Amino acid sequence: MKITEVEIAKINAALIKAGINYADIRMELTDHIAAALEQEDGHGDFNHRLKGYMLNHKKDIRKMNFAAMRVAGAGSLKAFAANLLTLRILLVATTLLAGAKLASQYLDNSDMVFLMFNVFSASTVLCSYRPVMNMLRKKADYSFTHGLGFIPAVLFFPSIYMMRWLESFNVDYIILYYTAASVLALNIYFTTHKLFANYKKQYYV
Amino acid sequence: MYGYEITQKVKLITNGELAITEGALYPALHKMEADGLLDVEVQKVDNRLRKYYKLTESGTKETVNRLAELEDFIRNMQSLVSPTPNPDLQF
Repeated sequence: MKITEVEIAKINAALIKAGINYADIRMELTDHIAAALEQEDGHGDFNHRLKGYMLNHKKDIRKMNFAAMRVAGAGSLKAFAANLLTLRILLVATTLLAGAKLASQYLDNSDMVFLMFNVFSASTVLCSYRPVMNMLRKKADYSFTHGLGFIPAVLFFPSIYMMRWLESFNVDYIILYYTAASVLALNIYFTTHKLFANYKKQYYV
Repeated sequence: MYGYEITQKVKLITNGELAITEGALYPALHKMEADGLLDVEVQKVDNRLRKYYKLTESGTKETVNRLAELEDFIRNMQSLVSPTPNPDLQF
């Protein structure tokens, strides 16, 4: 017996409850479970059969979730690295550096560091915008976003401390650091944008 | 082929001796897709999305290589388990 749309929604909800929050994995598992339940030939109440399936395959489903997320995370890091070597990133880096050098002619060192920290903060907000908005709007979250999620966190703490290091470092090094950190943050935005577009193309049929 | 179809086909070919679980199958498919060995196409089938996989050109080449490696391995194992005496190697 064919699984109905309402029953598909129930499978999807059961997977979310089981901790499968990522659209790309959940979509595939929904189809897998629906096909398995259809093959059982529809004996008994659907809710009961679904509960039974989830209980019997709980360990496998969890294992699959983590493993597929690891694969997607590694893929997104690879895309991130490949994106770093593009002309666009080179242009962004050159523009930021040139802008910073120009601003340093008019601002004193502490104002310059503060300005660069703000540029970095704005870049971080931009790179986090799409995943955060998706989370707030409860839109589909794809597993690859986890692969890049740690980069802003890694960049954030040294960037705060860098503001205090003006006495120990030459201001040029600090400008260079903030430029590099901002470029990395902007590259997260570009990579995420590209990956979202790829996933949309694949899943929005 | 889609995921569930692959599990059923393996079960059928091996007369139920080999059962691939979701936990083993999908991460492997995702890894192969990320490595460019598989091409995917998503279609709407019976109220739900279904992901179909097919081998890319490099995937087909990789399959041929891996199968040749596997055949070599099986041949070596067979000669270890039941060695045929080679007169040239006799002391």
